[in-house]
Amino acid sequence: MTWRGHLPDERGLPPIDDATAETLLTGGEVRADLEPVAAFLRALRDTARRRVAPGARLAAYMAGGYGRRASAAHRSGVPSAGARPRPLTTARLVAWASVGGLVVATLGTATAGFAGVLPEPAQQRFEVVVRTVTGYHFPEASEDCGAPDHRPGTDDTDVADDARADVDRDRSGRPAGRIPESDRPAPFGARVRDLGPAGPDRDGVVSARARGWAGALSPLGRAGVAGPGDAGPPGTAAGPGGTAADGPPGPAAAAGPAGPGPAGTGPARPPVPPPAADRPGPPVPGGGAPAPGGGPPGAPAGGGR
Amino acid sequence: MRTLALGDLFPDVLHAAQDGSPWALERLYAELAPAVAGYLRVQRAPEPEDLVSEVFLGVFRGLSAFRGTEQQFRSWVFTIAHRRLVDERRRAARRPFMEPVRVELSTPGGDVEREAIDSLGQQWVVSVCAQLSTDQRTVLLLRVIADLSITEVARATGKTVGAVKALQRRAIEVLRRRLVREKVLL
Repeated sequence: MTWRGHLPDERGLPPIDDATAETLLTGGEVRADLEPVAAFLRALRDTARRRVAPGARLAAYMAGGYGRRASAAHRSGVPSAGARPRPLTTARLVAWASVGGLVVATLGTATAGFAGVLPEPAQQRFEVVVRTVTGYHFPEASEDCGAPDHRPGTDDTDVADDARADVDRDRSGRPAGRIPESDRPAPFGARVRDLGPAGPDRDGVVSARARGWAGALSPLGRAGVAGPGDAGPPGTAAGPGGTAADGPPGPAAAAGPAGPGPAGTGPARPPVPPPAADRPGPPVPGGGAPAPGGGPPGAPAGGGR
Repeated sequence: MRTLALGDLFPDVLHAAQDGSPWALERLYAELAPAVAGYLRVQRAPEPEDLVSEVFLGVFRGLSAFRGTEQQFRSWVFTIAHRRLVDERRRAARRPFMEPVRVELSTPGGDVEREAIDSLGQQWVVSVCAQLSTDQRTVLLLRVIADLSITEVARATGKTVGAVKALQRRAIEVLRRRLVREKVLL
């Protein structure tokens, strides 16, 4: 039997038990076949007898000693010899808590400062500091939100005026401007057909003031402008024979012939009939839109009372 | 087992070292540094002399907490040395390999022939120990160079006593085969 990988001289070597190994390792007397091993172990021990000079840090540390270790360590950066890990004392806890609190306060102040929610003096001081240190320029409130300029339509008043001017332009074709007192809408209840300059006051319910309004609205009729809501103020109820545009869409306005006559334009209307009256069909777009105060949707046009 | 170097003086030396006396620190270093350096050298540690200094810096930092005999002190020092070696190997494994440039500086006026023989003998010892596995080599060196008991080696390496016994037995068998093959007569 041959040991794989071993030379023939290795065959027949007695195994090494724990006791023999212990004797070898402790330098005791061993049998002859183990003498080379014992000699090697002696040489191994000899390698550990060479003196070793300490490094610079260690030499300084040892020369400093414990009595001077604090100052020596401070000078050389070498930690104190024998220094145990410092326990977590109350003072250290307070110190750490203070540092943590300072960090949190700084971050909070910075966040609030950048958000612009600090009190005014503090905010100004913060912006000055940030601008000085970083060069960052905080936008002014006017830059940020937009300065109130006076272009038309940029404030409430102007918007209202513009809207009124647009409405007025649509109605009269005149340039925009404030609506004169005489152009104000007729009071509720006035009927358009009665608002004409010479319209009959058949029902006798049109007040003198309404007639005054009729004078104001008469240019519309004379100009032949027929459109949504043109014939009267919103909410004006259509009486018998009213235009299809006056009231909500109904069967008469939608399908019936809107010719002159009782079912067409009212007698108070100007001689030029509106285009919608010339042809049957759908009402003028938007003419039947339910207006505030107007009749209910689907009420027959010209139904009157 | 090697006789203790300080013997009865050890408690006084230790107490003085714990009080910070430079002479006591130097005495402890002189007693143990050669063995620690030999252990690290045969383990083929990179820059063993620097590692020795780091080991003793760690020893002296924790010296005030030490309580025990000289043998226990020796075991503690080698435990630190072994852990430093393991750490250094892990650190070296993470960085790119660079073959260290070894410059042997001989002391002027010394016995050059003797140093040459020692150097050759040390190189040969290192090369033979390189045939062992890492665990076998560690156990063998801690037993022979550090003069630690089986129990102390087991504690230092984190192994069981039985494992240490098996490792040292196999290490000796490997050495014997190697030496027979080379027909070395020391």
